[in-house]
Amino acid sequence: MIELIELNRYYDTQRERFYALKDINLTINRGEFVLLNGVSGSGKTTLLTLIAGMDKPNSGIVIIEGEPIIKLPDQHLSKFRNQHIGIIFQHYNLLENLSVYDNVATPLIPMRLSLKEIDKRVKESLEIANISHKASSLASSLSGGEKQRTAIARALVTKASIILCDEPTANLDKANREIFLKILERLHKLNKTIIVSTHDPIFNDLDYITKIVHIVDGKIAK
Amino acid sequence: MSSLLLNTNIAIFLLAEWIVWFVLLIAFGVTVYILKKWDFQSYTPVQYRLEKYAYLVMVILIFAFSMKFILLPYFIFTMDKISDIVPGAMCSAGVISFNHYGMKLFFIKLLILLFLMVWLMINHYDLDAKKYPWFKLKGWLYLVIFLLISVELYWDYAFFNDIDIHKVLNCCSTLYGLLEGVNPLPFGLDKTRLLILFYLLYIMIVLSTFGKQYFILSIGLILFTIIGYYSVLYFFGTYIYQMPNHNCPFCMLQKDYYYIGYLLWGSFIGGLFLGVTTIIANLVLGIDIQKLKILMVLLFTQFIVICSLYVAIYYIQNGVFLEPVKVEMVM
Repeated sequence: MIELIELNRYYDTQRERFYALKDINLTINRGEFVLLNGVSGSGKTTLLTLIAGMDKPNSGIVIIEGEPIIKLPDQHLSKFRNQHIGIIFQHYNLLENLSVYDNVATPLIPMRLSLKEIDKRVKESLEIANISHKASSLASSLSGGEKQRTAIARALVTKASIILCDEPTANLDKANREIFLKILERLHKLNKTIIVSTHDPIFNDLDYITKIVHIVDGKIAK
Repeated sequence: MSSLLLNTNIAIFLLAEWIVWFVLLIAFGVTVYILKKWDFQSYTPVQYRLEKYAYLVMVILIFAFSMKFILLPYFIFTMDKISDIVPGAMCSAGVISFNHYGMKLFFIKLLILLFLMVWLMINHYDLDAKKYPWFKLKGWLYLVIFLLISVELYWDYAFFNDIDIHKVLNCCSTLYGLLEGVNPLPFGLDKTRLLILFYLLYIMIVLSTFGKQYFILSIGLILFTIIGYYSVLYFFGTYIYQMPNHNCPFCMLQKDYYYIGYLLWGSFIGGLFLGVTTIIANLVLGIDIQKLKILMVLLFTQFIVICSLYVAIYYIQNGVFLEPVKVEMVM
């Protein structure tokens, strides 16, 4: 379960205080599929980075699986993120000079698994993300959709229970968007908690979405 | 102001010490502020800000402390360098004994390094635990360290400023030389007993370390500090110099002896400090740190091996051991 309590994130400028997020209270249960909706600059990505523990709020609490992650020292936070959270970035953030297989295997390095286990997990993830056929290709040689699917495989490989997607369809054509949605549906059936930040209307009609959160000027719209 | 302060090595050393101190001064101010308001249970903006400051302070301290670990050997190297230009001094021994600041400066530097090692250990385990259980302890320890470093900085300046290059200094043979009828060894020991104790204490330290007998380890470390120092000074050192009457802890730091002193004393002091850190970790934090213990034993073993090798190599090459020649000092 994810709990956000009285969450605030602001930036002080010389003249005023700018709130990227203000008084956010939100509870997301395990296995939910949540859509964060809002225009660019509304605070969706800021909210995702706080849930991922990649940024810290100015006040408030983020509790994931009972752990107040904001209070964790860096090394524990990294470990927690590695074990519980998979992130699919808007621009994929792949290591361009590595193969698809190596990109997907990278998050497993700190977990100190055996080579056999790493191989098993990577192949499973590539299969779910439908990118097995490109395993030995360099990331730099992939199309946008293939990079997207590699990023999905990387997010899944640690068996994270929470998948965060930041504008996942922004750089995809219609066919690749359809493929992506099918993969998300499959992940949802695997009981993963999925949070998608997007302003793409393609998500609005999905019947498996359990919650839609509208964010306007850093606040959750009633 | 002494013209010696313009010596390149001294100028670099003092400048580096000033920079480190200035960085630590900033960390000191922030630490006092953090300690006053720290409440880990709180989720307020103030507490979050303090946690960010705490991280910043930690990064500053790790950088500054790393510099301090480098600056001690550089301080000794600097003293060695200026022994070339100060009349009478053959090595750092003469320079450090020139005025009353020298030895106490040297000891405060060692004490600070010990405290730094303890701080680094506490910091490591504080971060390793999820809720910063030793945050205040390491904060207060840092305040003490900063005060010691401030005193050290003043003594650094006072020590070098007080050296008059027109005065003749004592050389190491005057400071550590053997006088007829005087036994320089501690507890009335002779050399044979000193050496037996030297090796027995090493075995005692190793056994008590892995047997988790911390009281015995403490006694062993205290005794080994004394016995180890005198063993090197009045026995093993003579094999390093291959001169039976040359007793000096500093000459072996020179190029003529391949800077072996840095490795030898580094192993010895490093082992002692790790030993003390291990004991503190056990008594204060209740943690048994296997890695520190192994490192300590490795350093002491390296120290013992270096000492013993010099004797063994000398014996193999010459077929005899060194025997001191009795000399009478003429005053």
